[in-house]
Amino acid sequence: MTKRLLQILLGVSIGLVALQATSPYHITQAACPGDPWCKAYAVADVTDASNYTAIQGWIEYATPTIRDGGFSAEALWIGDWDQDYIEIGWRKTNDGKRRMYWGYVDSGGGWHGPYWLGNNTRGHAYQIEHKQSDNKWHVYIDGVDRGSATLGVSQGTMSAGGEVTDFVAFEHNAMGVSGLLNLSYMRNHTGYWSWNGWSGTRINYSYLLTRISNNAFQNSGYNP
Amino acid sequence: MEKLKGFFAVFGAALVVLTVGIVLKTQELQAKLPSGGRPVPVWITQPEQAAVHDLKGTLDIKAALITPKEILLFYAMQPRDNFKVTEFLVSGEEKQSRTLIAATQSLGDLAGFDVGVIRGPWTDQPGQAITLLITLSGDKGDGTSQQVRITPLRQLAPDPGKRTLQFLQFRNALSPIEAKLGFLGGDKEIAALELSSSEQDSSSVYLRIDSQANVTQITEAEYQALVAPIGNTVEGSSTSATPAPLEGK
Repeated sequence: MTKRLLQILLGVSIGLVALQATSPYHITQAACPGDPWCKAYAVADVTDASNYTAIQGWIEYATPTIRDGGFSAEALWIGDWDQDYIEIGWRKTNDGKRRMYWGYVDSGGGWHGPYWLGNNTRGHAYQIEHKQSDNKWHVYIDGVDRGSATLGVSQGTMSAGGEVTDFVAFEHNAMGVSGLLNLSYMRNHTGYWSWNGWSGTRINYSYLLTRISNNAFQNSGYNP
Repeated sequence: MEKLKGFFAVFGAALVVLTVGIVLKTQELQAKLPSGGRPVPVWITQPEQAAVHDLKGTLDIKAALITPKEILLFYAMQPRDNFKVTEFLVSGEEKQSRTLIAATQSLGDLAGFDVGVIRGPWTDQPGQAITLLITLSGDKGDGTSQQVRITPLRQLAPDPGKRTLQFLQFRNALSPIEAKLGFLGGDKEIAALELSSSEQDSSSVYLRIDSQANVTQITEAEYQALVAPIGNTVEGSSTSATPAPLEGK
C-alpha cells in the first residue's frame, strides 16, 4: 500500500513538472515578461494631430484561426495611448464566436468591456464619435448608436488595424484576412473627411499590413 | 506484473495531474483575457527636426523604417553635392551617446532630387533620439566646413520585442518627394515602398526591403505584384461607411 502511494506521489510530481513546462500560462510569462496579456498588432496610426474627434471605417468580416486560447480582432481606436481611449470592432474568440464589440479604458487605466454587439457574419461600418451635446464618446455600427462612454479627453489620435493575443511565441493566431476600407475622421467636431494616408504603421512578427489606398488597407498573417 | 501496475500508477497519476492542470490553467487564462489594449508606438517622428534647408539646397527625411536592429531613414536631397551625412548618432538618456559613421546608399534621381537611404543600428532605450550630423559643402571662410544636425526620431516606448517593424512618414516636408508604404510585414520581404514626386510627369522609385533590411530597387511590375491584396478585398466594395471627401479639397 505504501509502495503504491509512493508510486502515485511520484506520478503526481512528474505531472506537476510536466504541467509547469507545458502550460500556456508558463509559456505566456516566458514569452512576455511583465505582461501576461501579450498582444501582437498590425495597425495604422494617425498621429500628425491630436484633435481628432471621430473615426469611421468599413471593416470586412473574417474567420481567423485561434491557436493560443485568446482572440483575433480588427478594431478602430481613438483617444490617448495608455488611458482615455475607446475602441470598436469585431473579435473572434477561442470558443469560435465571432462578435462585434466595443470597450474603453478610463482615466485610471481601467478597462470597461468588451460590450458585445451581436454576431458578426459580414462587413459593417464601425464608427466612434465624440458628441459635444453630452460630452460622451458614442459608438455606432452601420450608423446605429450602440453605446457611449465618458473619457477624460474629448479628442485624440487614431489607430486602426488588427490585434491578436500573443500567449504562445511559436503558435501565432491568424489575423484577417480583413480589409479596413473607406477610413475617415472628424477633427474638432466638424465634418467627416477621408484619411489622406497615415503617419505610422506597426506590425509584429510576420503579420502583414498592405496599403490599398490613402484611406484603406488590408491585414493578414498566419492565415487561415 | 507488479512492475507493470507500478508503471501504470505513476503514469496514470502524472497524466491526471497534467490534464487537470492544463484545463484549469486554460480556464484561468481565458477568464483573465485582456480586452483593451491600444498599441503604443515605439518610435515617433519629430517632423520639425527632419530637414535642412539653406540657400544652396535641401535635405529632407521622408520616411523611416525601423527593424528590430536597424533604422533606415529615406531621404531626398538637392543638389546631391551640397550635403554629406557624416554621422549617425544614437543619443540616450541613460547610456552614453554612440556616434557611428553614417552608411548612405543612393537610390537614384527623382524629379531632380537624389533619393536614398541612411542607416544605422539601435538598441532599446526609451527616450533616446536619432540625430544625423550633416556637413555642408564649402567652407565657412576659415577652412572648416559648416555642420548641422537634425533629429528626426525619438523612442517613445520600450521595444516590445515580437519582431516589431515600424514605418513612419514625415509630412510637411520641404521637397516634393513622397514615400508611400506598399506593405509592411511578412517573412522574405518585410516592406515595399514607393518614392514618388508630387510634381507631374515624374517617375517613381520602387523599393523592396528584405528580411536583412537590404534595400533593392525593383520595377513597377514587381512592386505591384508584391503589394497586391489577398483575396476579395477591393476598395469600394463596402456598402456603407460612405467614402468621405478629402480635407482641404
